[in-house]
Amino acid sequence: MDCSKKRASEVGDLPVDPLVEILSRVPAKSVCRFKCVSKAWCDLITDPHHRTKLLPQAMQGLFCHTAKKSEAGLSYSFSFVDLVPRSVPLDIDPCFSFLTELPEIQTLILSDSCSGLEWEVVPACGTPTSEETYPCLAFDPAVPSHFNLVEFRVADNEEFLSVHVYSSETGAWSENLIDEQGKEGQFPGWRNVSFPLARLYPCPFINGFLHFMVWDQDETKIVALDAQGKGRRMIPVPHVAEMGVSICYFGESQGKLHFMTEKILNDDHEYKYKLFIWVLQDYNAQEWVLKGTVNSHEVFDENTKERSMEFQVVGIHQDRNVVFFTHPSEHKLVAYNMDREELCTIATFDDQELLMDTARYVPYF
Amino acid sequence: MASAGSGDEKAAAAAMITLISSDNEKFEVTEATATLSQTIRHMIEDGCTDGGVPLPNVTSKILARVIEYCKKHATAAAGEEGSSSSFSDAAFLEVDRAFLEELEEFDDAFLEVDRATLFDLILAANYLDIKGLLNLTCQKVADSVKGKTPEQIREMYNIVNDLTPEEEAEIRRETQWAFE
Repeated sequence: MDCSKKRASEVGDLPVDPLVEILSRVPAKSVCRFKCVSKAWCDLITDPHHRTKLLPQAMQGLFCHTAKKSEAGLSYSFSFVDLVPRSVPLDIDPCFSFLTELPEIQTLILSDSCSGLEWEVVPACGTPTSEETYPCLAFDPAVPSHFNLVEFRVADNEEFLSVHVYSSETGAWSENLIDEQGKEGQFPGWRNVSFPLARLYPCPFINGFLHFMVWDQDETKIVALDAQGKGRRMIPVPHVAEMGVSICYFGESQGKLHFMTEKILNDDHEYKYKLFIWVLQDYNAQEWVLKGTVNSHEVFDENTKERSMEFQVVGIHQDRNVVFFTHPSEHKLVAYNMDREELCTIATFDDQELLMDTARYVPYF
Repeated sequence: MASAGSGDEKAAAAAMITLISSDNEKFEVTEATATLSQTIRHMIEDGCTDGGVPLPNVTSKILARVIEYCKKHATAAAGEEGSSSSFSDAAFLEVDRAFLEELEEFDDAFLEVDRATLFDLILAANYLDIKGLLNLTCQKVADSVKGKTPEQIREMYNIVNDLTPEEEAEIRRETQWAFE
């Protein structure tokens, strides 16, 4: 009795465990506000042990950007694939009409998404050019007051041309950082690596670093960049030198980097396709662990065997062991649950419709 | 099926557990009721329930309410298990819905208590590890605090604000969006 009373005085009338239980059932917006109640409440809410429970930012679905072929040419549209049972309507317009209806916006592309940032207009970086630009968002939901954007420009020959960082705090873009050598890290500098244009993946922001893939001589590596655009380290990818193995996805799930490779197995003249899912289990030791494999012939129906057995990975679930992929010949977006070995079609597209990009939707409150 | 079911119930009824509150009151409950508490379930598995289970953190007033909850929910759980094999899916869903509605009404009535009792129930549910009860009671409190301002929370729970004005201003600045 005495003991529980003493503990009870720590945070109002309740000991820590039940209070965490209660706050985990309160909308995140209220929880954030409650940091102002007292020191004890603030400590409890900001404690990393409780944060995933109190501010869980559950992934609700995927925004899909599709292109449709018609006589008039290509038309683009956005849609939303719900992944949770929903009792209230979606709190965001999945067609992004609040953006597309703005007169200054002509085309909208999904380049990156993150948990809980409300939309914001960022000035363009420099003058428009014909070179490709790739923006990456550095945003930590635990510090929602600001974000950074890193944008690189890449030439046709995959060389980096410029690197700029936008800070929401200053509202301005940095100088070109292309000649920064990253003295503190193992990153050899922008001029020594190139950007694989053929493969576009999200740039996961984990542990305060943005991650993206580069060519370092003939090897694929992952570069970790801090939010100021300084290269900090190079992470080797899981061993993919073997014949017939190629890289098919790179992203984040459950706070860890994930990497997927694919292999075509020629088995009795029947082509089978195998997906390997790797996780960077120990970030500092750079230790990749094989988390699971998916065999196309086990996952897909017998009937699809005649056609291409390849599936195209489009994403990975934020908190669960679920991989999303499309089956090109079937115009379907499917989710594969690795734990339950269960395949589920979550969206079907028209014959003439092609999925361009997807982005996770993770609301903050 | 029906006779086998009642036979099982008799067998379960035979296994009684004695719970002893902090003020030394004894409560006799069936094992099915008691094992809604994971804490007690582990004690039974370890064979340390002979001579009663002392619960020094729970008063008789609160323990009586907790047992009331567990009895109701244990019956509901047994009903679901028994019916699943003997009804067609449609009939099973019908029964299931009736059970759920009745349980919901029970839960609503159960929560009609003052705040001190509600908090004691949360503490007991936490200590005894009764998931359903913890969920129910915590949700009730959660519903009452969501949307409130920090000032209202302090007032509701007699919490002294020990943050310095500078600290509070800093937190408000960082989480400006949450106050809009």
